[in-house]
Amino acid sequence: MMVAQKLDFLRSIDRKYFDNAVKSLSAKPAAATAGASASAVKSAKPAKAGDIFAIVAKRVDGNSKLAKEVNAVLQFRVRDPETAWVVDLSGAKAEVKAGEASNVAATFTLSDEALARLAAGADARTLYQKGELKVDGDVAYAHKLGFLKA
Amino acid sequence: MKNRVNVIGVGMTKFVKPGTSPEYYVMAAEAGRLALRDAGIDYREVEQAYCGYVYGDSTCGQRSVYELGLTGIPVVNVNNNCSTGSTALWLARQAIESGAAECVLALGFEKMEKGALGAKFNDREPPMGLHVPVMLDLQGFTQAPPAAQMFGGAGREYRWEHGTKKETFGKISVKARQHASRNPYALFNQVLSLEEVMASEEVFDPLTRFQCCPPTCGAGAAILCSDAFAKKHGIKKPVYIAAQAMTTDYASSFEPKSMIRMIGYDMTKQAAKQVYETSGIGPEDIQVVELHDCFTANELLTYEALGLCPEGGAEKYIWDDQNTYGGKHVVNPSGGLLSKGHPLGATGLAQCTELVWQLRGTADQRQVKDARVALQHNLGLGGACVVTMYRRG
Repeated sequence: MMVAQKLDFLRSIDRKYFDNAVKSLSAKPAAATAGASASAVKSAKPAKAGDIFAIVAKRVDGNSKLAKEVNAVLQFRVRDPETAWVVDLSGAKAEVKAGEASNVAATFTLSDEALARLAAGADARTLYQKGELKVDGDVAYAHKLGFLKA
Repeated sequence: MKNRVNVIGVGMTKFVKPGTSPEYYVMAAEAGRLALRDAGIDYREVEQAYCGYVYGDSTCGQRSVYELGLTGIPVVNVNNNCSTGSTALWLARQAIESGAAECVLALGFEKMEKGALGAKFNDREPPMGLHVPVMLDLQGFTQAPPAAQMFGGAGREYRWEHGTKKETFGKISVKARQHASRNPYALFNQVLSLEEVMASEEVFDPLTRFQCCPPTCGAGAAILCSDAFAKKHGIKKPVYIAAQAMTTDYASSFEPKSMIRMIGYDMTKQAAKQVYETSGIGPEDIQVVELHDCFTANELLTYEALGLCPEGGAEKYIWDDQNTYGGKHVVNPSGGLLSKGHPLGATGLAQCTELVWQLRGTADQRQVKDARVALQHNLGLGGACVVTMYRRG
């Protein structure tokens, strides 16, 4: 339950997962079947994060207006399954990368499922109040997550 | 014609962890004896006794004061959840002020079990039947201790609105331990660093374990009397109650839905307002405060509800160290509920005891320089809030 344990887990994350996540940034969305998600093997559960951040990447890439508005590097730590993403809206460049960054303004921790709801239009404030979205660092950036929405 | 109410005797037991204390009536009687000795009077002078406790069968107050004497005086048992002790004080103050009695004992005690607060009677409507739906609507219900969910939830709501750092909450625990390290009556007197507070197990974001008060056993007592009684006993320049107010939930606790209001923000704000108006003294002229820090989030919110800092200004107030020695106010010099401990019935009387010592100049290593006006804040969910202002001479 300690934050330190979460970090260790992420550091030793399956290299294959990261590779798949990066691949899905440019790939077509994979069709998730009910059968596949009902599978007993947890690692077989498809990560929605990859598809979501692929779309976000398109929205963010070169978006200087958004970069000006947010003006920060934001870390996303997605759980179940574990993936990590950096949304860099800090300056001239505006981009999305898989992985971890140091020196971030805020870190958002949420489940893959909660991320999907956020992208579908769920209210970040409600998710935060319910404990489904955790924020380390400046909470003000949690008010600026509109760019995640489809 | 309202009589002035003096606090001529105070006393408390050392607070200890559950499973290690004597029986409730032994602790209560000890606190009672300490207060009587401090006042320099015999129990036979006491005309009424108000005994506060939350967990126990009926008439535990009598079992306690019978250890002091069998004088047949009126004994009333009282509870108001975590503000039980102050409620006993409130009744005692009312009795003296109205002229119903010249000398009254306010007593509070609790022998608690290990673990978080829970309900005892699950076969009936819970007292927080109107409050819980607010929480269910805003944030649902988890396995974490209910009180931590409520106050932690209020902390979340505040954090969202004001962008507060998590460490701001944790810093309050650091102060509490610092102050408690100079209090021989406190349960926890080991100093903690901010890193240690933040690294402790998360109970309910943003509250970590060291940001939650512990279950505790203990007792506290105060002797209240009229001016005439004090004069008769040669007591000069006693501490007196400049103003006191009790409030319960307003409609705003429930609608529009807000965790901050649900946990009693408006009860505190209104009780404080009444006290400032009655006394003619405002927060800027208070030097020392004992407030209800059941969780760090509540201490932070209470700074604003009491007007110790402007609304939205709590984070700055905390990082500028305005809440400790050298700052605008010394908040919880005793170590508060967080470090001194929180035996529900006793807390209000322990707060009173510390503030009386502060105003008399006998608070030893915890003494606040030039303490002239003291403020006490005690809050119970369900609910009730009692705010009391003390002065001396």
